[in-house]
Amino acid sequence: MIAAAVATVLGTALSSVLSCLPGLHVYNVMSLLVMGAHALRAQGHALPAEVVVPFAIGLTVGYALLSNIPSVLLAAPDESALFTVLPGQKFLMAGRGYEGTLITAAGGLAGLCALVLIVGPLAPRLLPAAGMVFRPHTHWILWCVICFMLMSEWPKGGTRGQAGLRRFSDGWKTTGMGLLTFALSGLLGFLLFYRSPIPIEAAFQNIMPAFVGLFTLPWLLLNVVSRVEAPPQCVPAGSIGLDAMTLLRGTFAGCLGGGFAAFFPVITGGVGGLLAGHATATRDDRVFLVSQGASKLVYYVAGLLLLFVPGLGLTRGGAASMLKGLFVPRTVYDYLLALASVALAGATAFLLVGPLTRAVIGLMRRYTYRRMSAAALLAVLALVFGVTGCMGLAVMAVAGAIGMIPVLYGSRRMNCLGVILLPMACNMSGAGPTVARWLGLL
Amino acid sequence: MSPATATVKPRGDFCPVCERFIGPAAVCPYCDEESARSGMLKVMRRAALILGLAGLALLYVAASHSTIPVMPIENITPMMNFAHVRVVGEVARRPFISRKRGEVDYLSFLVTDRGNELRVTANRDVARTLVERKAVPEKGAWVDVAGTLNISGGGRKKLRLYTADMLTIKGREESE
Repeated sequence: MIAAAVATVLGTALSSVLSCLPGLHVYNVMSLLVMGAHALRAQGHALPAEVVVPFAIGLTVGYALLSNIPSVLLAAPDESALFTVLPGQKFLMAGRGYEGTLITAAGGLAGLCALVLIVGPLAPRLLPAAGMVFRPHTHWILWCVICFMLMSEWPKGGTRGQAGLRRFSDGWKTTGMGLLTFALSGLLGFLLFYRSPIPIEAAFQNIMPAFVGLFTLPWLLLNVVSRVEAPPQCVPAGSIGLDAMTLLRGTFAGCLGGGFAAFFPVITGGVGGLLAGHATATRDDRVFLVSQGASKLVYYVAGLLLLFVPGLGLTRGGAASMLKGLFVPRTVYDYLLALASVALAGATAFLLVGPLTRAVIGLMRRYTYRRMSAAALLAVLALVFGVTGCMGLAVMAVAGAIGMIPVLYGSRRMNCLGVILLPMACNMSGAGPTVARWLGLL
Repeated sequence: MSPATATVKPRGDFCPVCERFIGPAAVCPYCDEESARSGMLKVMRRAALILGLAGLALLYVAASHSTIPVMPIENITPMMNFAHVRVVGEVARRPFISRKRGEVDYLSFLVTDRGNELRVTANRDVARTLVERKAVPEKGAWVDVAGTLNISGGGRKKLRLYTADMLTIKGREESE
């Protein structure tokens, strides 16, 4: 038990520090560790489950809670934090990045409490039945989500210039580019699912270069190119002024979105956040940040916990999928161990939020925003090359160009999720292989 | 409150005329003035479009002309999870066919190659097509099968067939 606790704290501490680096995703780090664990196992030194599981949970919880720091202070969001960027940027530009980070982390902690205290005890009773009910309907639910995602992007512009085709094209430019992004990333997804150019030896990370390219690269590149400078950041001496109602409203919306994203395949925290935001009519920036913190935590952690729920055994998210390659949970003991690790990791990570945010603000004072982004860019390039080689870099470059389109044309970055949404929705409907054959991939 | 960073510099995110935050917009939505970085933005926009389209086309050509590698079962490692591979071997047991409401729903058979085993699975339409075509391999048949690997924690390896055409039943001499 002590080994499990130590592994949890170590995993959380490692992930907490790494999460502060912009653009570094926990799944990328986890993939390196999984490669190491497989190499050890091949030599006959298998790591015990009591160490592997708590460590992986510590990594996931630490990331889910602390990756908000670069999301707010360095504006390098991952695919699950698409909405933190704008309110977070507002806080950053007002010199209140510290406050924004703490509000988001408070949402994460509230989401964690809901997960451990409410969902945890109920999950083994409710989720297996829910899984049975929803399984045959997943494909059309997914198509509905895609339709909503594409249709809810309202045309911008179209209010200036001559009436007619010019004004029409001005109005539809951003929306059209959003649709183009979805189509291009969907085609890239088909390539990666059916004929991936990534070397077979790194196939378990097939999608990683594309995700880095679509979500991480555009922000880091823009930070480097556009000479962005953050204004002075203030660290409030007292309370961050988060009232109970704001916390409750944000947590409810976040848990709804994160829970939906964690339970349904392929849907990410960002999409869940979009749906929950619309469902609960979230407007206020603080509620928004709380909800994103909660949504992100619930999405990542619940996705991993679903693997452990007795009688359910759902694999959702990259962490569960990688962990499943090392260990398959079977007993209630495994579930309780996972739940305890989540609680311990959450407490550890939350204690680190304040000091690490202040440390990042200190770094921002010493090194420019641009230099930090350049360093992160190099780290990400090295990681992708190390895991997937030259072909991984090529995929990342193409994905990066596609990921730049919504950023530069002002459409939703969420459209980049076509990379998994389109092939998976087609596969679940039974049309994936047919489409792949049309494309000449099978 | 204590300031933690030093300088504030003008950003391209602000309108050069009304100085309001306009993000990546090329034209200020408040006063219709062009953004300070409008020229560079145009170049970047075109570059992203061209690189995205051309890069994807090149990847597509490379992928559609690539051949699926034949993988000996003993060489399959957990890091090859989700890899698209071909396996050649002998069917070790009678295939298992599961039916749901009278219709074929799932099919699986075990392929061995130099003493190493791999389960090949097909779901719904693929399984149904194989049964309708009478293309389900019997015990002892030699098969050449392509699909996606699925490897779980206990070391259980599976190969999932995407289409019925990806399974070829061969004579032993032909496969050797």
